[in-house]
Amino acid sequence: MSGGADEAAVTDFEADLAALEQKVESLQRGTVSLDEALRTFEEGIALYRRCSAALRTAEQRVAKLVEGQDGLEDVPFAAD
Amino acid sequence: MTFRTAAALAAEGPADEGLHVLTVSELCERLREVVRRQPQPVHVGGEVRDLTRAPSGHAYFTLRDDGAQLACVLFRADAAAASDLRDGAAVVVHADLDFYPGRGQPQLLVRTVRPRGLGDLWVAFEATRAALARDGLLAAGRKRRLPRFPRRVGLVTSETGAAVHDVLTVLRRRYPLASVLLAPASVQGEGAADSVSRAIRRLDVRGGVDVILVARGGGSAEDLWAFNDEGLAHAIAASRVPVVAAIGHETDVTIAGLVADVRAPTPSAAAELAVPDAAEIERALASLRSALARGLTARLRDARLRADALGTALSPASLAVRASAARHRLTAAHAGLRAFVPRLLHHRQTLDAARARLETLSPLATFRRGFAVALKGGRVLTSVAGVAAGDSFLMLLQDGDVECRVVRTRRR
Repeated sequence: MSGGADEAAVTDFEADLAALEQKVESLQRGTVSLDEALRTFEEGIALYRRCSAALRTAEQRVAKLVEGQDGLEDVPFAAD
Repeated sequence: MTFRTAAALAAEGPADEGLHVLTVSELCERLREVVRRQPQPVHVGGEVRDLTRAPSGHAYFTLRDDGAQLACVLFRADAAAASDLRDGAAVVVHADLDFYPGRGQPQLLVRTVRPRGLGDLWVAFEATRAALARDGLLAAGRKRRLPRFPRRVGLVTSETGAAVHDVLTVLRRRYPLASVLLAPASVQGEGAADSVSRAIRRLDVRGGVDVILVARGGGSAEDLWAFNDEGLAHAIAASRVPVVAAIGHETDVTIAGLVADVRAPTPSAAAELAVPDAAEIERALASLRSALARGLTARLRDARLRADALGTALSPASLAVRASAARHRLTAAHAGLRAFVPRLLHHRQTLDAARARLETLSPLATFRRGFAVALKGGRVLTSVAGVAAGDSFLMLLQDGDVECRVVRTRRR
């Protein structure tokens, strides 16, 4: 299936966003040590930057499902 | 025979002994029951006459053909939906038959009005809807939630129509992270229903899509007819991923729209519903980033309070090591987040200040640096006014104390 790399990026995006939300939550719970808090903060910022970059650099990919010799296959679809 | 007025009759009291006399109201009530027992609802074809729209929003008209006529009422909500209804229109109404005692006549409580000619199609539509409802396919509980962040969006539409362009444009603008897999289908005319059903099954079986959009731009009711197909309804219901249907315009009700997990008023709206808005996510990300900073600030404040509480128990040396380690981490963190430089600098200053305060609070350190404390009568001397020439007092140093006598005091 084409667009594999793209999908991986998106899967990461959702997981990264969830992880970021979790970092914020654990930092707000207030039971972590100062060291942990600093580490959580740093990791959170890294996640934030990844998510933000993914959104800014994403480019839409469109494929078309067609009937080929070996059944269905994807071919690039040029919109417009 | 003479007739008296109703008022005179009432004054006379009961009469007509032995005869069972009904009031008009009682008889009308009977008629009403008879009428209401008829198979309901009914589909009736005819021509609209004497259409009036009351200020209340209800609409009244007469439905007639060559030999008969029947009064019709369209209640407000339904009347609004039939705003294009006109005198002389040939229509089929979908109505409950009732009897109106106030006029002593039967009437149709109309739910919907469709142009004639579509009447037959419409009856078929209602039949399909009823069949699907029996099968439970229209139950609200069947509706699935759309994924929050679809990785891949399946699109079933014509390759050449306006809908494909509209959908792709909105998806690209809102959430370019999602790739799109188009399964082209014929969306009008003979074989369209099968073509759309097959495209849905292909996308679903083929896997990899998280949501399927079935889209077709506006058109006449006949143009959209394929989307009232029962087989297509089953194909939508059988899809393992949620289906968003956008067929025609907002006012077009189709079976596909009823069975889909989400019905969108237009193809563009379907695209809006299917993916999140990247701009909104960016805002959410920014607020998460702020929350991280706030969380860290709170932790730093806690740490400072704890350090203050420990007070002199902490040796300045170890505190300095910790403070410098914390400062190191902070410096690294702050390099990673330029937007928060001012705030982080503030934290670092706070830590430095805390360390400085702790150092000044430790008497040992103070003595070590050469400071001394003067005591007179067990109290700390803080002013020259506390002693006069000839007084004696005690001076505490790092390693002992000195007994002193005042020679002279000078005020600065």
